[in-house]
Amino acid sequence: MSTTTTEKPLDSRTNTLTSSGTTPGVGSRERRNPKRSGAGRTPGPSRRAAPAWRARLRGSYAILAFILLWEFAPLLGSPAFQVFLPRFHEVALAWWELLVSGQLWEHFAASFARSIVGFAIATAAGIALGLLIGWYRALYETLNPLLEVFRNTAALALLPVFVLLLGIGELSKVTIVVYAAFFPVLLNTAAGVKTVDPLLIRAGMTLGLNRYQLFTQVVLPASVPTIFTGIRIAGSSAILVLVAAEMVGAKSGLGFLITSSQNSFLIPQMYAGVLTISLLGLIVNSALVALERRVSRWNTTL
Amino acid sequence: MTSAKIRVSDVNKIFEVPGSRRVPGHLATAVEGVDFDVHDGEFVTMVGPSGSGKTTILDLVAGLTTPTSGSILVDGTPINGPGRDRGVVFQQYALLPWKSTLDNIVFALKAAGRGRHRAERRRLAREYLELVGLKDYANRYPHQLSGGMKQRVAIARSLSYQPEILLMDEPFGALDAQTRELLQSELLRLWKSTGTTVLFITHSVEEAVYLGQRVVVLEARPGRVKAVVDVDRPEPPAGTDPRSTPEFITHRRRVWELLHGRDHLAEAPEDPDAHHVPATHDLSIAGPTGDAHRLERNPS
Repeated sequence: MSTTTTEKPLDSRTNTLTSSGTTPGVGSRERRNPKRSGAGRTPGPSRRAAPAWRARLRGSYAILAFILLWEFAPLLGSPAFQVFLPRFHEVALAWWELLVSGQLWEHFAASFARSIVGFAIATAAGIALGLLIGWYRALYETLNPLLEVFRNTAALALLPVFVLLLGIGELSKVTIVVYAAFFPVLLNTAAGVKTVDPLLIRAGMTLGLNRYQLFTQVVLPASVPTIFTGIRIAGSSAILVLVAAEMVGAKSGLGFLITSSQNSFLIPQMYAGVLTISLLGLIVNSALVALERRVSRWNTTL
Repeated sequence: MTSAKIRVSDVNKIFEVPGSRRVPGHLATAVEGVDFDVHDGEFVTMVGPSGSGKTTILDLVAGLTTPTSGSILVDGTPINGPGRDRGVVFQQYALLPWKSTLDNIVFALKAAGRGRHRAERRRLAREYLELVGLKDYANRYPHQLSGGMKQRVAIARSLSYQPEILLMDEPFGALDAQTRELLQSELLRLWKSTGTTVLFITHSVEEAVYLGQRVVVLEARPGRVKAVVDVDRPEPPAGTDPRSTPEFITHRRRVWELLHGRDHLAEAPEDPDAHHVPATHDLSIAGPTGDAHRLERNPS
């Protein structure tokens, strides 16, 4: 699940990058110069349009095939098996009923709010600390070993700790989301600042920028693409951790919907919950990809 | 010497090479006893093999690094870090990739405090884009431009804040031969119209002789000034290739021989580099034949 959500947007992103790169216009003669950077990334319009369209079609074949498999494969099993793996239309029906009754929205909203709040806090804190660590070497050297310890402590392992300290309510759930989303943002931000092309810094210095101006006008914008990579990773891990936390102890949320349906033997409802989680992940990811595309359109190296 | 715009005297630069677990760290002398000056409004080129500290010298004059010993004066005053009196053009363009062509120049103007408000800076930036022939590319981003165009933008950016000195670090090194020649003559045109003092680094003998009024020839390990060659070449008649006049060829050969360890202009017995046979031969033809010219342009 997590691999498909990260792979897919990367694909669509390169497609749009190439299409924006070949805007025909003035000086197309100059642009045909084979020496120009990024040559080969931008094939002709006819070669570009077809694969993008065909790729989408191919992708929908796979989805359709999966649904058909889900619909008919249970028939091969025993009736008992069909209870545990209901046919797709039964799940879809259950999903619809949950939607109409308003239950689904209630759980979805609970999960969505927790992940957004936690994710926002983690992103703000991760970017702020990441910028400091990336810019001040001494701070990096001081904090790095400690951060490595925290980073390598699985967030879910800390769930009992958070529950003990912060109770079973919203606070522990938001905290674990913050914890899980913080480190990808932090580490990518620090890496982004550290790996800014030294040439750009030298150029900035020769333009007479002081350290503060160098940081805000050169280093910060140059690290935006790397920071966004961290933000996208944080988005998927926030949802991952949240669902697990909701399964362990909660009274609402998609994770709770899944476990409580399972406990009440409402198997189609359980699958409906799983589908909704996929949907939430897709929404969050595509929103982040769209945002990333807006702020780092110039970047051709990613 | 008081008339010197840039005065580099007895400059040494020693780097500390950090060691690893197996190899102990050591000191490396990048340049040693470097001594030369550049007069006001002059175009000086600097040519040397790799390891001769060309870029080190340029960084020192730009103020990006400080010399271990010796002094660098600009207008008689020791330099203190980078300054807007010295514009730098790098080989790899160093344009901000997230800014359009126009905004890259506006950025420099703003940093330099030129132009009272945004509209005025944009107008000035357009003028400089026009100066380098790119006024139709104001809204392009660097990744949408060819190497030659990017370097033009970089040159426009450096000229925009009107530095008295332009320091250029192999600016045309990454360009193809045709674009390179085009930009060389454009640079000469800009230099003549702005009167800027230029210190230009290159590894190409031909480029050094074509552009420079004087050529500083460096030797390697450690980097030292081997000789300074005056290039006095009469303006060739219109329509002739300036690179095939007898004067050009003589200077070119002189610099080449200095670089390759032959200090005298006396007839070299056998030129080991096959490419240079036609160049020597060319002296006798001394005509702008296309063939000789073509051979000329492939020095190594």
